[in-house]
Amino acid sequence: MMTRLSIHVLAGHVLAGFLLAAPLLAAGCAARDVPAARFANAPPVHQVDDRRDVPARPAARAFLHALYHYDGTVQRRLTRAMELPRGQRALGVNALDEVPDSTWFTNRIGVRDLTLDELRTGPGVLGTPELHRPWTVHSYKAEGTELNLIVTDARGIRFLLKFDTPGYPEQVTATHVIAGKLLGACGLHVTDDHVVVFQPDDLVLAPDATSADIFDNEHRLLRAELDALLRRTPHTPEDRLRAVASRWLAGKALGGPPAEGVRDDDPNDRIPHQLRRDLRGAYTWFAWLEHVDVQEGNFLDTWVEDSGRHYVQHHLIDFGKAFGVMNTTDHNPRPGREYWLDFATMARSLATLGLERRPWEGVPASPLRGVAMFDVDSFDPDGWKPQSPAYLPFLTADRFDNFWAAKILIRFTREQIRAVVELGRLSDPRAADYLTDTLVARQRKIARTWFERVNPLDRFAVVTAGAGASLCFDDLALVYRLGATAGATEYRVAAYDAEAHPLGPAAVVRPDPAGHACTAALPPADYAILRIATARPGFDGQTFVHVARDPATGALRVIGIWRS
Amino acid sequence: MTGRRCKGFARVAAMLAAAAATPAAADPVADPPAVRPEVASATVPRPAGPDAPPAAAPGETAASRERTWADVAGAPVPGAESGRIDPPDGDSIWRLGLRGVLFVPRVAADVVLSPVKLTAWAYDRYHLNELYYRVFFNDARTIGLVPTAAFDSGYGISAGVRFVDRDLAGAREHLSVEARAGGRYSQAYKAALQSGDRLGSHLAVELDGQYELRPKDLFWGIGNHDDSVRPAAPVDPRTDPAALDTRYHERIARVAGVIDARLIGDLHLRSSTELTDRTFGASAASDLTAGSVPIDAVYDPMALVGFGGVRSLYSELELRFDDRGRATYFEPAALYSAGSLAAVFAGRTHRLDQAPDYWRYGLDLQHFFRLADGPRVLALRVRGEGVSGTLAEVPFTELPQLGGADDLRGYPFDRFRDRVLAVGSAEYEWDVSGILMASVFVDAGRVFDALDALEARHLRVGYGFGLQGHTEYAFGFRGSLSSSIDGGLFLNLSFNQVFGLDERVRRR
Repeated sequence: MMTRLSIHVLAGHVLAGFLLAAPLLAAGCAARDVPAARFANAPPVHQVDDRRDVPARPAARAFLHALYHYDGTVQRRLTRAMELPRGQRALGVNALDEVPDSTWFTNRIGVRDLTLDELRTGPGVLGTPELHRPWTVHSYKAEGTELNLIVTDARGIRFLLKFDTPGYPEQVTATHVIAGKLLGACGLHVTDDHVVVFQPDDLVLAPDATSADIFDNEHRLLRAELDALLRRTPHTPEDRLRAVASRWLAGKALGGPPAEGVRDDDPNDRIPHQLRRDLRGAYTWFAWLEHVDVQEGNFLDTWVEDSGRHYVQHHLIDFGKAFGVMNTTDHNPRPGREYWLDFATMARSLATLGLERRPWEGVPASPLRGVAMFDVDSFDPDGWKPQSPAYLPFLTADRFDNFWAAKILIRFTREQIRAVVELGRLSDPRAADYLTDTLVARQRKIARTWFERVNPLDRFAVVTAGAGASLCFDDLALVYRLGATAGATEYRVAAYDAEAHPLGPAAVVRPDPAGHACTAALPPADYAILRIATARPGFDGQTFVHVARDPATGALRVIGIWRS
Repeated sequence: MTGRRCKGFARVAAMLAAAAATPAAADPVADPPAVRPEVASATVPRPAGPDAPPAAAPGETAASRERTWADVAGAPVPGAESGRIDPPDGDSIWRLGLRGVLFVPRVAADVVLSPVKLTAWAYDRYHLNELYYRVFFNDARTIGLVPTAAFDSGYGISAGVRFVDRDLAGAREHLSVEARAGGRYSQAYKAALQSGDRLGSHLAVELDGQYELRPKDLFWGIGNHDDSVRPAAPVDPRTDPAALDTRYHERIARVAGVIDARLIGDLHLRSSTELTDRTFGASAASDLTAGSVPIDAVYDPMALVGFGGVRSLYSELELRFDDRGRATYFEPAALYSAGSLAAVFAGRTHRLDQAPDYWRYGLDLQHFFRLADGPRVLALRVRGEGVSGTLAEVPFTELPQLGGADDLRGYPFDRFRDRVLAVGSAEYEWDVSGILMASVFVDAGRVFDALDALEARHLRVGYGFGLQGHTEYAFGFRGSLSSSIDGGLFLNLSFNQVFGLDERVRRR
């Protein structure tokens, strides 16, 4: 109902001139090469309201690891294929092909330059608990071989302490913090994590501290048991303990969102998750970070209270297996290059008697302390695969989603990446250098890939000069110097009216050396569609920019972007 | 497609006309956020106003402040942000029709696979792995009960339970007691003790005892003869070439001890001793499988040396170099991808039942050529074994044997036996996933009646395709589909690694 109402409202802003053309629009299409997308003459939406009150707490979803991966790898994958889903462009995208802010995603580095301090701080405002010792241990829960302690610092703020995997010092803790901060800067909602170094004496047992097993059987946690647990964890060369302190998320935990469909008991959750641009586009960010541990259990929804109202906030958690850490700690070079059970790869391997070379072959584990199996050469931005195919948004992601994500990703400067890497507090400075260099190289490889799959024009703006107006834009492949050259690039610009009738002959414009270009004067139509076809050696692609007159000012403005 | 779009434009036009008739000021929903003036880029700093990030509180960074419900009140709900006014895409009639056709197969697939799904659910929901250890093991997981199952080609499935104590006296001494039934066994019991680290890193001692009742062991005659028809009367297998599937029952009681001394590096000297007591008889009709007959229906029991019972003491010395293993820790530890094995042994069987003593000798050479990552491996093996006694002296069960899932695949279990065997294998293995290896192999060999009769003629050649399942540390199974130049098709499932060592004191 609201959707129909909103469209109705937006339609109310349409120019009268466009309405005059309506009968002609209904009469038929003159130009078949203009896509059907049409946009209301209205401002683009930069935020959506998915914080409407949800007074009843949605049900918590239990994450069943084996079931999730079996279903996502075999059964549901099979039955979904038999449902013949059509390829569908992402939803949750505004008229400018961008993602509005929501409880899932907040535009951060994608819309403005973040300072180094902002990047270091991330979403948190309270800072590291390292300065606020001692920490009171409240509970310990056994999760396989992992040691997880729930503590509060001297300020009373609750954190989860997680430790490195024995034999792999600094890998999990550094990776957790670096990957989390980078994903947060991209716009996802993440936990507030810090690498902390401390002494066992900094931990004080709460009088009611408990230890729970996997069956939730609790017993009182005693100092001797805690000390025994801490002895098993890797120590720094200075014989101190090192962990990642992850601030406890506010609200009631609801488990991860389903990878397919919506959370039925959350009325704000209206877009099937496999169709969300922000979740689909995250494929590229996860690929950048080699964050292969993608599963429902590494997402966490919380039912939060906000000035008397409640709604569901969506977070990502647990980044410690990124940067190839899962490959090294699990002794498996495949994640990132093939699924744990990859039927296509298996079939090829069987058919070729294993003669086909796989992309993970020969990838070395780094000798640097704190660095895992993380490289550039074996990285394929388009062929990257997480550990499991169960996370559906990554299967439905298309080139437009990845282009959107790459646009955000390429905005990180080396200095910014280095600042975040330093949060990992790696003891070997060569490790920080290596991670920075690798992240930058993978970032550019990603951008090159997706900027060659989608016309990389962006930052469209109508610029008024004198009596006329023209459309200016940036060619991101040139702006970021990704191999394309301005001299070999040209844009053929053709204008159409709303009915896709040509508005005069096409014109050719060329970019300046910085990758910036402007069209000739825009046609005087009230609604025009500009088809900008980019041509340079090895690439051609087109973008359709819809411009219309603002009914309030009479000035032309961009009201829609359609990439094809 | 275009035609459908054009119809859509008509609807767009109608929608726009209707919108124009409704003054925006009268809309019950608040105005959407202000647009950035003239600039459509999402990468340009946003202006102040309702679209701007909320003001930062003292101490907060602009990026850190998340929006509240008050910040977004009045914004469109999710799904209404696109600004699109053209009609949405829908499924084509063809897609809808085909989807209807596939409805029943899809439901059928769901139903068929539901037991697997239910198992996965139960595994997670009830933490079955943890539950197993909780119920059957101590907290340190050193003492507990392990269910066992095995499948022997030609025999079927056996199952049982094993009690283990993996740290008997604090130095990783290993005690196991096992009982099983089914398949090859009507009853089987085994107890074993290994010294672990108790005697240091250069010396290990193993002791074990077994008692087995096997109702239907295979005997195909003696020699390298082709399959034959059933003779009219029982024949002497030492002289008659009759070769067909016959069965006998066997009772085995044995105790064995092994001392393993690591001389240097991967070079070991192993001293083994075994005391065995065996009795035999023809299989009962109820234990026979299709196509098999009791041993005494084909072979004269009086000519089957040892058929009346065997009691013996066997002592052996073996020199073994073994550096087989994985090349890198990115390969499964449970499988060999590099290294070699070279073992030579000689042992003396001392008959305790007044029968003549004899020697057993042999060698086993293996090398794993790691061809590439994965790993891809070319595994080569040559094995030879012989006994010094004559066919009139060596019990028929003690003759070297070929055939089955491990030696000379493509032939039935223990298809060939005689005084000497020689077999060579070449196997190319490659990984098809992180938990599965595939292989193609060819085995060639035969048995001989004497060491000086060795020749490369009349070889039996088997070949096939195999799959090995494993985790990083544990070997799972080895299945193979094999045939031979003599025909036949054999599906074997084994729980031993390829080229497993056939230790004489614990042999079949």
